[in-house]
Amino acid sequence: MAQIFPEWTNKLPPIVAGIVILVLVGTVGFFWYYGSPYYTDVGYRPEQPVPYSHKLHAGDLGLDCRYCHTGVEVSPVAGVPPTQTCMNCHVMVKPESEKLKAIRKSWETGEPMEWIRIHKVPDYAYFDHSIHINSQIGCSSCHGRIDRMEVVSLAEPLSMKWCLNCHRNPAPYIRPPGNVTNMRWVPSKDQLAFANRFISEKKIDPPTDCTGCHR
Amino acid sequence: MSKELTNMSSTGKEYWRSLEQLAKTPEFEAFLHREFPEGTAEGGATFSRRNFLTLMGASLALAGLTSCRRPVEKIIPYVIAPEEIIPGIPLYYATSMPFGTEAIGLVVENHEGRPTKLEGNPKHPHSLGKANTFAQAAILDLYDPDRSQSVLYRGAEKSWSEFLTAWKALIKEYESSDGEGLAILSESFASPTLARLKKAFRQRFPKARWATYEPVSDENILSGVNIAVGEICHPVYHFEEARVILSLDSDFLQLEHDNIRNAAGFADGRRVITQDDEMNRLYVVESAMTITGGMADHRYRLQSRRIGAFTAALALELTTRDVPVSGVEALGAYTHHPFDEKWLGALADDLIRNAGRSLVVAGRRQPAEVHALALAINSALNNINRTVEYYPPGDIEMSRQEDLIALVQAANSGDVTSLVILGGNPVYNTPVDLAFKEAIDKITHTVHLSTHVDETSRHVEWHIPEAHFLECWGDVHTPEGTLSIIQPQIEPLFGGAKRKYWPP
Repeated sequence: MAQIFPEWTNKLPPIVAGIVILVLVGTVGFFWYYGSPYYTDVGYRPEQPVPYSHKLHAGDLGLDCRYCHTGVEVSPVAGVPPTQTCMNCHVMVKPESEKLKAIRKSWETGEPMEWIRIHKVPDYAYFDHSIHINSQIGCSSCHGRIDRMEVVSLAEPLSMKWCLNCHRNPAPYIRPPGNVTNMRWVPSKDQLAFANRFISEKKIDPPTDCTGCHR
Repeated sequence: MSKELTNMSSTGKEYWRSLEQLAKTPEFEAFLHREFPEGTAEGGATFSRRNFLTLMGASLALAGLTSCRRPVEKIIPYVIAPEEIIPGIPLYYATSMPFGTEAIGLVVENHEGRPTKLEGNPKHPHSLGKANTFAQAAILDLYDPDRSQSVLYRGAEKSWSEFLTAWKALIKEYESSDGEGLAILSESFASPTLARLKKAFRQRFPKARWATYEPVSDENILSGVNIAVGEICHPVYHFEEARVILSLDSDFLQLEHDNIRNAAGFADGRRVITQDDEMNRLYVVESAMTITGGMADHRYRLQSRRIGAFTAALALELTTRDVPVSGVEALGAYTHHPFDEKWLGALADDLIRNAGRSLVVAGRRQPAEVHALALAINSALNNINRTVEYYPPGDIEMSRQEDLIALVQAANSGDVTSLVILGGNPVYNTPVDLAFKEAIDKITHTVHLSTHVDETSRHVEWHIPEAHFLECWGDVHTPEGTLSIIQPQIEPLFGGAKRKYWPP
């Protein structure tokens, strides 16, 4: 009696198993990368209600970050400036500019501006700006070269892995005093020696246990 | 099916399976005749079960996809930044919470101008940096979305100025008659300002009635003191001085007047730091398990109604041990009592051993006689001015049930034409035998100030929303006389809300 199944069917189970594994690995891999903050968040660049250029203000004009983000040294949140801060200069500088229409409207009506949030850690993670600034971690370490951004975008993924990378080894990111808001800072040759001395003197001990951030 | 049910009596005993069936209501009869109960039928319904499932399935399937998109979050800064406020850093302001006739000194945490947490003010002699459950929960009251938000006239929204017009016209009628027919029903309060306003009201309308009612109050305690010494006084306990404490149905750690300071004093008396420190001892006689009962070293279960008899037995027991309790003659000859002899004897011995350093407290729920007897026992044990002090209430406005009864009687006989209710929900919480609801319906003009649209608000002409204590200025003082300021933390959340202190 002839065989019902031809010989090639012998290879069918491993082929099917292979396809199943490939599909599974592919699906998991797909979401692993495309669902991660590296893909979904980095480069997030929403259009703001006013085309405010950080490149112009912080880069070309050289305004210090803390002129507007006043809370950064004392508060968990750096703060977005009130309309008043814009109007400090813009009653004199380009008072008729078309781009500033929304700001003037807010100033006249008292309705606050609604900026779109770019840098966001989840609600279940606690983040405090002041402790990072006072440990001399620079703004650009997390926010990127804001002074080169016409429109601000998210430069780093702000994922847990990314946070822990620095918390486990903060030495490369600690800056000499006076350079925290300096966008152009590059580490000098004796960076590690300086940073290690600073860490032991100031007893810098970034938490790496769960409750450090997930309070 | 219905035939079976109706015929059942001929075949045997008839049983019913619901009250509707027993009453043979038309709804039930109709229900029996339907093949399917209402709501199960597919046809005719505007939104069928199948449609619902289809939509639910689709929305569930699509719900997963929304997580692929980053939700847009807004940052809304100030237009003009207020001085002192740094976003992210809380500010703390002191205030006090009026609670019945109590004043709880608080420190309020404010985030960007919004109060978020109440804690005791360490510098306030009455709260000593601690707060109780009521103070902790008061913050939820502030943001309660069910709070009354506008002036109502017979349930319809009106403006504050419309009320004022109506009220000014109404009050004019009473000017000439010295307030004949006008009545106020107030909550109890311990505020010098409110006391002054009450006095001014009395002067302007000498014939007006004033009643103060609170469903939970210290009325029994004060009448008890009145029976014993012929004077109304407020007891203030010093648990920190007491070595042996007997609680007669008094949950002084959680529910009685001054429970914050009571708890702090009790903890001080119980704390052992050095080798020579002694713990205090707590005896509790109560009918239900309370927090205080949980702390007891010796707890004696007793029905609430028998606690008076227990107190009498204790007084007689002390008298037989050569500590004569005044007024004990009135209790009659002492032959025996039905209580645990050993327990009562040991308690009496312990109290006598610690005379001057012991304390007997009775709870609000106990009648005045028990309080009078407790005072007599404290006096016999030489505890007065050591572990318990008595203060005259001064201008504290106390709940008095007889005033409420008089008010209801006057309303029933048509002597009250206008009634203003300042806070509280008397339709709900006055004793049901008083028939307050029926009495209030006989009054022509009624005004009700309260935080919520409650049972009383539905029976009145005008309802005025009341401001929360975190939204208004005020003052309050404790029985010993510590004055505290109520400082607003935020503008009234609902524009219509008015404060008790009016004019503002």
